[in-house]
Amino acid sequence: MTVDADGPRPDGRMAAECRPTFLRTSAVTSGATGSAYGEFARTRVVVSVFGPRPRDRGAGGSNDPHGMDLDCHVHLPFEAEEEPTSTTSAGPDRAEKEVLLAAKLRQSLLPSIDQDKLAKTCVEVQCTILESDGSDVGPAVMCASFALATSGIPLYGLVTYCTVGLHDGRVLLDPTGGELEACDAEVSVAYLGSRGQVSFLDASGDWSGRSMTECVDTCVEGCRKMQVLVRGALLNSRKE
Amino acid sequence: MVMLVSDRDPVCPGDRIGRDGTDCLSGSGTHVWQGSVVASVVGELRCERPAAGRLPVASVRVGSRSEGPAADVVSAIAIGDEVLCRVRRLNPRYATCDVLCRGTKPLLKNFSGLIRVQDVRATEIDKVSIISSFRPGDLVRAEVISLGEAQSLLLSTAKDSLGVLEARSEQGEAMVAVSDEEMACPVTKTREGRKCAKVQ
Repeated sequence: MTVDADGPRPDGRMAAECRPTFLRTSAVTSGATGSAYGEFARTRVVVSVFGPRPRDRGAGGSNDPHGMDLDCHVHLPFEAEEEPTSTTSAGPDRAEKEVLLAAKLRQSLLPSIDQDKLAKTCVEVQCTILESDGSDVGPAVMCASFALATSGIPLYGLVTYCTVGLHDGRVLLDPTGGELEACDAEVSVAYLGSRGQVSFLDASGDWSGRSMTECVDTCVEGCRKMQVLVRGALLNSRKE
Repeated sequence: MVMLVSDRDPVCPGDRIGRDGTDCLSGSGTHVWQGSVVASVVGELRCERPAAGRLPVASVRVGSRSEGPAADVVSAIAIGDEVLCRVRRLNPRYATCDVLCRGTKPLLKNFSGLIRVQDVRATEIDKVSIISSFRPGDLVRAEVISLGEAQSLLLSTAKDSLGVLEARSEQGEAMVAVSDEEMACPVTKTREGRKCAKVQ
């Protein structure tokens, strides 16, 4: 275990603790097959799942005519932006970030869906991020997996997501937005707990000081903890 | 035989239920992974023994209450399903239809289906004429024989129980089936050719 316990972080957590979570179903009742609202400390996400419906004709030129399509859309919160400086490009704008997040969401979720049972159909996942603090992909992935489970779509298991940040040689599990900006490096993992498989891995930054393998293992441990939480929320939601 | 989850217990996707073939068999709402039966949906586990001495079939029942009708596990159209469709267009070689229902459950959005001339009936398939088997607007019960190429499903009405259920004559009156090959209008007494479904 490589997480250092050198005292509490700004929000009072120890280095190896994940943020508190809250998950609820039936957030969107009109027309959606399933939906979920999730709060991961201060990141708030609403996901609605539509389908399965027949695939659109010739959409995307997919090579497998009998396969299943997973259509992901992400909507980021609208922020009043300052005037972008004209000399340097302001980085990816909101639309590009949304497309990038949707691609990550799709890659993390697709291996968890039983595609053989959903031939020639399209499942649509609409994710709206209401408030963002720290990694957006993680809460989106977990809330979407939760929504897919509540909508009755056949799954191989739940997907959980965890991020580890490296700051001054300290390994921090589930960093907040502020901690993430100060980190030198980060790695995130989407994990399918029931099969022990990683569906998505995202690493960036300077990894010369630490072993990435150990940090990925830490991520997987974090994912396992989240799996227990999400599963508990799923069973609780059935009672409502 | 030992099952990891008892009957009527709640299960989540990914929960192992038992060993496939030794403890139980995979039913609706479950799948098999590495020799174990695993739940695919959130719900209550139901174990039913089809006959004494045989392995129980583990299925997951999706529904908010433990009694009463269960919400069906979400699934797509598969080969062998009986569907209800309405004929839209005719062509000398096939009839195009809108698939409306799967079994008796209406679909959220219509699929498109194709009944080829060789799939209309089981006998003398080279002498079939599409125009004397279907007309646009007919309600047909058909079976899915293939998921088809890009757009449409391939359907067949080759069994006795499959074929036209309801049709209107050229005058617009609802017709009654008089044989496997014909329907008659009760008002004008004219007969029109259709591939009729034998209603038990």
